[in-house]
Amino acid sequence: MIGLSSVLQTMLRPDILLYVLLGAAAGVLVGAIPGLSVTMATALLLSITYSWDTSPALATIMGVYVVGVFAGAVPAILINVPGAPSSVVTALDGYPLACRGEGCRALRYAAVYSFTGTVFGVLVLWIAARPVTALALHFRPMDYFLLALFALTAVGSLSSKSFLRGLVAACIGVLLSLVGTDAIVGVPRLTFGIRALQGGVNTVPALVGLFGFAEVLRVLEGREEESGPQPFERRSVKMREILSHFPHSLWYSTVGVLIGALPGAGGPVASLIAYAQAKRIVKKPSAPFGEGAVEGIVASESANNAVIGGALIPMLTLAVPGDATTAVLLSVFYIHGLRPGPTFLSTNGDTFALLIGAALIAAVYLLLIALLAAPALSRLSAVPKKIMMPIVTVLCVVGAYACSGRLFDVAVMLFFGALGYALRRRDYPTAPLILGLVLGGMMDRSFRQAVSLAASEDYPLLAMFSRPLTLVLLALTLISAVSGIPALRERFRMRPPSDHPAMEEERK
Amino acid sequence: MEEKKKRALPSSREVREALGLLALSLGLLLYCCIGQGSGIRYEWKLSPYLLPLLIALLLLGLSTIMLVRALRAPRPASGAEKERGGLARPLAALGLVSAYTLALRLVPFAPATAVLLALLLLLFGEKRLWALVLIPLLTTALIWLVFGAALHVALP
Repeated sequence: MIGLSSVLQTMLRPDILLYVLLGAAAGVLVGAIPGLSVTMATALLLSITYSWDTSPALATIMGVYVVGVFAGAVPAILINVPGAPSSVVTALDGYPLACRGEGCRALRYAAVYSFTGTVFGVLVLWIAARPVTALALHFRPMDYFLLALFALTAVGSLSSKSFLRGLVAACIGVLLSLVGTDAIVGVPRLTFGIRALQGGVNTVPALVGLFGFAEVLRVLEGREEESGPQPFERRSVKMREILSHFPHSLWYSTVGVLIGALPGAGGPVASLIAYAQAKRIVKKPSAPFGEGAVEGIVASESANNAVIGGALIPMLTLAVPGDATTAVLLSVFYIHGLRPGPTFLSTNGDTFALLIGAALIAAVYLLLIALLAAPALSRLSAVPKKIMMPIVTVLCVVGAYACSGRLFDVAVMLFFGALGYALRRRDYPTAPLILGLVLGGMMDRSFRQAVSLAASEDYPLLAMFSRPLTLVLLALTLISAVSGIPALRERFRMRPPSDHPAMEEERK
Repeated sequence: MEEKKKRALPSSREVREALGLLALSLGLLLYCCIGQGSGIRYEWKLSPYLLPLLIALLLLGLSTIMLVRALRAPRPASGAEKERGGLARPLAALGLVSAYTLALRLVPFAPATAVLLALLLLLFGEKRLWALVLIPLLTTALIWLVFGAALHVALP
């Protein structure tokens, strides 16, 4: 483990402070604009920093990475259009809060817990990189499949109205994620002869449609007009109130680090699993989940920012990137002559200290920028919807187009917008659909790999389910699935999510 | 007596929804079987149709449960559906944005976007003339400046 003094020395270098600030400013911009991803920004920076020295290049990229992941929460909270896929869950509770005139409060929670999540993830990277890598290496294809299935069965807790409808929405999500050329045997699947679909459904336009455009259509329906634009909230939020969720956030951050360390999982999966956990462990949320519970924002933001530290662990110790952004970061390492691997931490102590230091500086910038800008940003939610919604529509189109430069992706955004609107109109929850969309690819690959590996054994079922880790994941999945069935919930007197104390009082 | 008859009738909307899902699952099942049987053949363990087939079976089960529940459930009181807003304005917005997407192949981004914004503002109920002119022009200019000029992001 590298010493504290090396990290502190890095953190006090004026040039590093400046380069991280540069990256942080770029991160705010790309994260807050739907369609511009942190991965895209990192890739762009790759070409800009090509001729730079290693230290400024890595410092700038870490600034973009850390602040960009948080900044996705800003449009998610204020206009219900997630700036990044990992901010999807933040929108579930953040936007209802903004609609009530509490956008500033939501942004402050997001900022504080993005900060704590990032710091937690980076500390784990610093202290426990090797043991976490060892745990991640134990995951086999069946474990990945069960992890995804566990997240999907959590639809019971994600869908407050009907478990059945939640499952249908999850199935549709998985099905849509399977559209395109199959990754294992290279056969087009569910494309119906449309060539543009052979590359699959791009997640960014799909999410922009499901959240942003679907919301525009819902407001147009007229039901939203009853509430009207809410006045800007002037109540100050006490830091003590915000920090009261800190113990829970440590658990969500742990989930984030572990999911981040699994190659291919990433921020959206981590925040969805953490959200499902929050619904289980928080007995008395500030509001029902999905209707403005700050606990939902705490879970999502702690987890998706802790992913940063987690994703860096396999990248540095095994040269296996944990997500798309670390894959780009890996190429930055190669360009600058660095070779991540099992001996990297002991042979490149200075670079490791630089990464830790730059991430911690970026976390501080994130907190400062967000807390200072939150009051001004939250005034956006006070703009009348008849003016805001047409602008959101154009931003949805531009965001969908920006991610790949194809008008076809705008059509994908419109399709998902209409689908999201139709599902919400019929009381189908959209969260399980998103979960299915994000996890479907991983489920498909890992399930088929697990089946074909086990098929060569004498006892295939035993081969698939004989490992302790697999059995633990299987047990968790079964418990999660069974607890979602309403009849069993009733039998064991589990409180359905809609029966919130606040709602009970309202009924009385 | 007539009231009893009415109450015994199932909710047609729920039934239609369940039947739609049932048709989707059967169609998917058929698609998987045809896909697996034609072209280059793979064993099921490696087949790209394995997971879609499992989903089709799951959807078949779920839609059957939904159908049974819908057939058993009493018809909702008349007027319950009226609580939902009309579809005309959402469909009009969908049509407008679809037409805008198609028009972008022929018309440059800025004029097409300004016209779309003005029409959407009208659809949302904005009637003030200055707002119908100024908001589209300023928003289009801002988007063009931020995305196109400052960030060099390709605009449609």
